[in-house]
Amino acid sequence: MPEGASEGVATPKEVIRLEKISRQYVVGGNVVQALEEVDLVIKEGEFLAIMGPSGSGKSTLMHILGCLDRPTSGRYVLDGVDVGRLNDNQLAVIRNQKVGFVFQQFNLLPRETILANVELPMMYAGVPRRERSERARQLLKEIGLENRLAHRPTELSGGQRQRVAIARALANAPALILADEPTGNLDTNTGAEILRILEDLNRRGRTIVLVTHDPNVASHAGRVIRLVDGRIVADEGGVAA
Amino acid sequence: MSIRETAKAALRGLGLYPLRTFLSVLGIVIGVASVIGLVAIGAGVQKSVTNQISQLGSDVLLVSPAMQRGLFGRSVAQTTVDTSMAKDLVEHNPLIRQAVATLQTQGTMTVDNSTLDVTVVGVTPDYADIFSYPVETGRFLRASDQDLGVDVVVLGAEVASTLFPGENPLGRKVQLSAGNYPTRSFIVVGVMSSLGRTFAGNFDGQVYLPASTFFRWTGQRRVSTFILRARSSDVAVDAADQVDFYLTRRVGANKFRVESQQAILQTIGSVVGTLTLSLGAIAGIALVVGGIGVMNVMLVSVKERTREIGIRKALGAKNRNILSQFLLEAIFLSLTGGLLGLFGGWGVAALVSRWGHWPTVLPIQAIFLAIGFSSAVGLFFGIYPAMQAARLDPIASLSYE
Repeated sequence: MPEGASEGVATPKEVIRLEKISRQYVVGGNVVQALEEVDLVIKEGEFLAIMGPSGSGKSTLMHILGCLDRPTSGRYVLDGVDVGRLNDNQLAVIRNQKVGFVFQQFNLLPRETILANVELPMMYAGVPRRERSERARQLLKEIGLENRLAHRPTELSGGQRQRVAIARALANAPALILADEPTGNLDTNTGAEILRILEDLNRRGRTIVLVTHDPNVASHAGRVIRLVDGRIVADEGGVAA
Repeated sequence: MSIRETAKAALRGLGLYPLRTFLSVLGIVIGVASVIGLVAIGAGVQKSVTNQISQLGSDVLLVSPAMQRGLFGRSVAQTTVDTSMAKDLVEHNPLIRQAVATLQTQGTMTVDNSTLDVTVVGVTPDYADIFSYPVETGRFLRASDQDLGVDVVVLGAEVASTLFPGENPLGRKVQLSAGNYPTRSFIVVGVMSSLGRTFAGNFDGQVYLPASTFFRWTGQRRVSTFILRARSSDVAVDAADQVDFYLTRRVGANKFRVESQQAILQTIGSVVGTLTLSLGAIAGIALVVGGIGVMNVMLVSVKERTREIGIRKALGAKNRNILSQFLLEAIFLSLTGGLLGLFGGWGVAALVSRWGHWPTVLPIQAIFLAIGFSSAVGLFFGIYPAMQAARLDPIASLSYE
């Protein structure tokens, strides 16, 4: 049952609000307009896919959504916080608390155990050691890797690594899961398994933004937006809100 | 993130390439080891010398005939003077409080069937007094022994323990032979306590006769050494000059060698001072070289771990988390070098001092200095690479291959 339904009046809160977001780069003296006045609202519990060809600005959009980058202009409110003008350290805190990243390259620390990898965001959040370890074990149990706690990422298969990355993304219970081509380095079956996990998380109320160029992957999302040349050209299947 | 966790992450980074880590800190290892080694050796020598000198008292002067290589390579004294000069030395040199003449020869002492090579010293009764050389059992020579020229002997500690193991030597008869002189019997009247090795020789291996007895037995009047005592340690060096001047006037230039313990102490002190100064220079150069090694390896490390930095930043690491991780890594790195150098230098000093028979002394300040300096080098040369790491852009770092 969707989370909002039980509250009677179905007005889920906004997790993301982008207003006229633009991002320009200067490359070799030329100004590149990566995003142009993008407006986007994502509500809690949505599963949204961002699609577009390469160079369409979807990576830039993802970086801004993930607070890895700042827009040149426009307003970005993430989970009630206007993050547009925060400094580096404040953005680090926002990334830590409100965003869970799942990358195409998994991006686990190769020399740490998978337990330590899952603990890492909580470590930067200052969660006490025992609590952190307990929660990491719980998360790894949920994805079925509780027997591999002391293994290094290199000892795991790609699918297992991506599951660890998902557990890590959930560590600080973020408002947003941001998945950038999460199946891009996986075979079809394993990719499908990862998508099932994301769908399952979404069913349990997680807001998920998925960046992909693959229509099959995007089809798992309830809502798909398409970017071309830094603009949103289509917004399909969104919950009528 | 706590210091403990930052430290763990930093240590993990160090263990990544052990050989490279070791090579990069080799400069610090060698620098710290040589400084620690030389400081320890210097301190050991100084301590051993100071011990020897303080055994005798730093107001003591030794005056002995200058030796010159003579016919057939034999050392020949440049002059001979007799014991009466001891009195003159006190009378004509106001800075001298006391003087004793000693006559010396090498000999063999026999008790029953055991024999021992000893240094036979003819002395006046104030000999023991001038060094504050205490008697173990019995008594030292007395004025009456000197006046009557009786055949009594006082044994050094080592002589007594070798010839009379577990026995009381007092009242025992011993035979002394030396050179061409007739073998003569003596009665043991005393045993001195042990003085150990000193600058003036090994007292424990000597036996003492009244100077008059010595002369009657051997016919030798030539003084081996005058032992003088200055009014105080402070005037010892001046007293030595005074005596030198007096002897030059009386018997001619360079006939005697005048050694003041105080002068020896001062020489040692200034040598050690110079040593310390040049050590400072060596340490400085070595630590700068070592520091550059640390900086180099840290810059490489930051470059190699760009992706790790990107991941950490994406997951919420603040710039200062990254800064302190890499800074601690640099400090650990050079501290490791400092500790290796500390133990290495200590080992070298221990070996050298065993060979040179002086105590191994490692001043506690040197340990703190080694640890403090190597950490400081890590901090100083680590700050730039750590800042480079902290400043990395998370997006660019994440896509770094």
